[in-house]
Amino acid sequence: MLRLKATFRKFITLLAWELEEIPYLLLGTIVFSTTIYVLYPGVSHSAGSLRIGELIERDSLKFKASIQDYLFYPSLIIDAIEPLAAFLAGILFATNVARTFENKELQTLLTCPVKRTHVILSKFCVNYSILYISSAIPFLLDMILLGISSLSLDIYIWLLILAFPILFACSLAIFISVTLKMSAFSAVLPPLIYFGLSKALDTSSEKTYMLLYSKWDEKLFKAIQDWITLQSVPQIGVEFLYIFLYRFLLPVLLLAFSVIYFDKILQLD
Amino acid sequence: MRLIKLVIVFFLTFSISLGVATVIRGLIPEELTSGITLLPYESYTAIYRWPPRFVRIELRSSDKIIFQIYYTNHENHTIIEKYTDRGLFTINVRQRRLNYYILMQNTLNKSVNVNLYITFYGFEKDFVHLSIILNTLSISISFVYVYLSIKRSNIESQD
Repeated sequence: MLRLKATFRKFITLLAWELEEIPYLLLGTIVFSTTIYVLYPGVSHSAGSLRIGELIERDSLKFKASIQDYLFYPSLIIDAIEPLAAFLAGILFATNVARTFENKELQTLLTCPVKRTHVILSKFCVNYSILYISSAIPFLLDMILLGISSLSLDIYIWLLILAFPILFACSLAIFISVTLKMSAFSAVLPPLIYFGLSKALDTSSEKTYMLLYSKWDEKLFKAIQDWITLQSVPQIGVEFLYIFLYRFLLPVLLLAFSVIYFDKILQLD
Repeated sequence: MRLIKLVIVFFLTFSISLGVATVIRGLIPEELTSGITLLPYESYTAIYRWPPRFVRIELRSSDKIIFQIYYTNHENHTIIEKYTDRGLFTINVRQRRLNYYILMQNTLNKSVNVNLYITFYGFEKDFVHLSIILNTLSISISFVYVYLSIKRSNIESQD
């Protein structure tokens, strides 16, 4: 127990150290670009009109319809954030991981009594947190502007779902940074691979592309909402298996491979 | 110490970018078009939630209809009520979370085609307030931090 506590304390110290090493300009660029992008009228829907219902009265009969599709607008914002996350994760990991190979900073760090696994995991956690927080704050603001109550469960489910595309982008970026060890390639390749993957999927199977890039968040939102409110137990079908494999298992495997590669295989000069 | 600086940079950048986003949103008008055919003696009401901006509504219909815009805030508040076939109306929306109703009622014994062109322009008032408050707060915090840093370095140099 004491050993676990000491390890945890060491990891927290490493996290704080990594956080302090983030360049201000890079942090500012990420916060600025995500805020402007998420709140831009083409991405955000809160600057325009929301149609929430209609009433029709004909021959003394009344029809009332409530329109709630705007409650799914956060899904469109998540879809829009994803390419930006791939782009920013590339830059962030190139600066914070790949460049440390080039300027030998990592060798210096590893002379300290720290585990290699902790070093790479702390870098991942810090970069992931920066990207997530800088996307989640404008996203949360936009949802509140859309009229979703800040006390409603929906907001927290959407914030949870936002974690998945950022996990995907970050795990891809760390994998490339660790394996290539070159900052230029590490910055450029994650967005290229992201767009290449989506294009390849779109041309090979449009249905799978729609599921994994457009409908997945809505489906996940409905399933989590139903499960939490105990309305129904989510049906684990083929669609959910695809979503689980692509949106969770693939990023986790990429991250695990990156950590193992850094820990066991990578030779530092 | 660097962590505090990092948090200040984050907060300052966020508030500045919120200000820029407010300007961008204010400069880009949002447009909405809707067309409907009202059957004889039919009444149609569309319910909207609008951002606190200026809203320009252009009505074009093939014959005269009762055109009414109102919002509910515990009770109904009528903004516009006309018996007309066309017109251009401008509304200053003050609050975001109110329900705005556009009622179109056909009082004739024939069908009427109605087209509505809704344009939102100007700054969102709540967004402007939020960005002013956050900018003031973040700039004040930055100044306090810089002042304290200078004071501390002066004390250290005296020692």
